[in-house]
Amino acid sequence: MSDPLLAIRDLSLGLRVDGAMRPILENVNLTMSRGEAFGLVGESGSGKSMTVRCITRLLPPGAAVGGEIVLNGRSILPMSRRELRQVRAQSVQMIFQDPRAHINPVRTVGDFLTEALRSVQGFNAKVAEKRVIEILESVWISDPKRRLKQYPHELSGGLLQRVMIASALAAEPELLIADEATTSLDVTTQAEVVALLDELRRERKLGLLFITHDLELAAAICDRTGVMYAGSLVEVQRSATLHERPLHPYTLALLAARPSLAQRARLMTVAGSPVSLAEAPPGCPFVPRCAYQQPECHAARPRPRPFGEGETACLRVGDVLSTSRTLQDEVPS
Amino acid sequence: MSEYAGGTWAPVGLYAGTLGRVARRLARHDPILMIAALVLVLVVLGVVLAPLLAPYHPNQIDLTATYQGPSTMHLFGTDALGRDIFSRVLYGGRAPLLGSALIVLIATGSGVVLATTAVWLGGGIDSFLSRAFDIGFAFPGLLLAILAVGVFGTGLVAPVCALAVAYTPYIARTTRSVALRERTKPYVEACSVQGLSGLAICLRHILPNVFPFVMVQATVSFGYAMIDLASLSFLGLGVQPPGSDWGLMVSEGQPAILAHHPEESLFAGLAIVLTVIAVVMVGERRGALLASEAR
Repeated sequence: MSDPLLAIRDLSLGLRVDGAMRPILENVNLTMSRGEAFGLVGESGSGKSMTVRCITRLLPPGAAVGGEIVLNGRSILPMSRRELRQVRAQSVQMIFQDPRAHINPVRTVGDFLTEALRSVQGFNAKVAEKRVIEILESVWISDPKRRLKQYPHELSGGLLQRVMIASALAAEPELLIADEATTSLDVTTQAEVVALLDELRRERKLGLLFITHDLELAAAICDRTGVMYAGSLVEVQRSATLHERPLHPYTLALLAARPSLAQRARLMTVAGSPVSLAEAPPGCPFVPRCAYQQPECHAARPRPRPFGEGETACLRVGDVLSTSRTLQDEVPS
Repeated sequence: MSEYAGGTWAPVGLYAGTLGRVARRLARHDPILMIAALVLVLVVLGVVLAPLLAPYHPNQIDLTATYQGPSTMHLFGTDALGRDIFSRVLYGGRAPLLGSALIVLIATGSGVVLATTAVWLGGGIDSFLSRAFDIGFAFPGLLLAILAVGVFGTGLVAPVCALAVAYTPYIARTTRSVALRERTKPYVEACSVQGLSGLAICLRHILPNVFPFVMVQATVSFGYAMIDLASLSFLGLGVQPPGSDWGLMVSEGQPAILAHHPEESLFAGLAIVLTVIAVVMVGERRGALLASEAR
C-alpha cells in the first residue's frame, strides 16, 4: 500500500442547515491503492455520497470540511479553484446516478462528450471527435458516429449511462467514482454497466470507488467494501470476507436482511430506523438498534480500528464474530 | 468546428427552426397568436419597406390639400400641412420599432450578463445585484428617460439609452429566477466535475437553457418599450418635427381632432396600439406555451 491513490484521513463534514451547522461526516478514514475497486455501502443518508463529494469538492456553499484528502500525493482540500479544476479534469471523474439529469438536455451527445476535451484539454474538434468515437466503442456503444449527433432524449437510460462513463473515461482519470451509477437502471442494463465498469477498471488500471446500497453488487466487483453508518465507516473488509465474517453488527443485520431464494421466509429487517450523525447518541451511533450493546458502547464514539485484515468500529467484535459463525453453520452454502 | 458542434446553438435553432411547424400547430390550437404574429409581420414589413410602399414623401407639403379625409389619393387622408398620413404612418414606425429593438437588445444583453453573473457567483454578489435589480425595478423608466432627455437633449439616443437601463432589471430579474433553477440542475454539477470553467458552463450550458424564457421576456418588453417611446414623443421629448413618429403624430394631430379631422392622431394611435398588442400577445402566448411545455 505504498503511495496510495487516495487517502482520506479523519474526514469530517458539516453543512449549514437553517443557519446551524449540522454534522454529516465524522472520522472517515479510507485508503485506496491504484487500480483497486472499493465499494462504499450504506443506507440513504449514511454519508456515502457526501464522502465522495468531498473528494471532488462538490459541496454546497457553507460546507465545513475537516481532515485531509490526498489524491495522487496531492492534498485536495487546500487547493485553489484553478488547481481543483485541473484535478477534476484529469485525475478524478464521477459518474452519477441519473444520467438523464446529469447531461444537458439541449446539447448533442457529441457536444457533451467533446466539450471537456476541447475546452479543458485543448484538443481541436477533429481529434476530440476521433478520441470520443474510440472511447464510445470501448464502452460497447454501437454506431458511435450516429450517437454523436443524437440528443440525450433519443437514447435509453443504459445507453446514456454508458455515454456518461465514456465522458468520464475521456479525461483518462486515475480514480473513477460511480455514485449509485447503476441504481436507476433496470436489472439487465445494470448488469451490463457493472460488467463494463469492471472490465474498464482492469484494462485501464483505474481506481474505482463504487457507491451502492446493494451489498452483493459491491461484493461482485469490489476488492474491498466499506460500510457506512451515520456518517462514518463502521467496517472495512475484503468483500468476500465481509460477507462470510462481518465485523460489525450493522453489517450483520444488513446481511441478514437480504432476501434469500433458498428460504422463502419472512424478510428480516434491521430493527429501528437509521439515524443521521446529527441525531446519533454520544456513544456508538448504532447503539439504539444493536443487539450486542454493552454499557461501554454508550460511553464514547468508538473509532474504527484494525481487526484482522479489515477495520471495525465495533467494541464487541468478539460477540459479533461468534454470531456470524453460527450464522454460517445455519445457512448451508 | 465539427459538423455537430452547431449543437451549441441548438436551442436557438430550435426556436427558429420549429417555427414553421409551430406556426401550423398554432393555427389550429392558438389562432390568436397566429393573428398577432401576422399583424406584427405586416407592420414590420410596412415600416421596413416604407420607401417602396409609401405613395408620397412623408414630408411633402401640399397646402392646397390640407385636412382631407381618406380617399383613393390619400388612403388615410392628409394632415394640417397636406402631408399624406399613410406615408407618414409607414415612415413614422421606423423610430419606435428601431428604438424599441435597441432598448430590448441592450437591456437583454446587460440583463442576462448581470443575472447570470449573480446566479453563478452567488452569495453576497447575488444579494447585492438582486437588491440593485429591485431598486431599478422600482424606479419608473419613463422618469429616467425624461431625466436623460433633460440632460442630453431630445432625439432618439437619450431616451433609448435611458430606457435600456430602465429595462435591464426587468430582464435581469426573470433571467435570474430561471437561471437559478437551471444552476441547481445536476448537469451543471456534472460539468464542473469535468473541470469546465464557470464561464464555459454559463455560456454553453446555462444560457442556452435560459434562452427561450429570456426571449419571451424580451418580446413583452419590446411592447412596453414602444409605449414608453411613444409617450416621450407625444410629450415632444423624442423625435422632433418635421420627422415622423407615431407618438409625435398623435400629439400633432390633436388640434385637428376638434376640427373633426381625427385622421392623423387616429391612424398613428392605431398603429401604436395594434403593434403593441400584437407584440405583447406573441410574447405572452409564447410564454404560456413554454410554461405548459415545462410542466
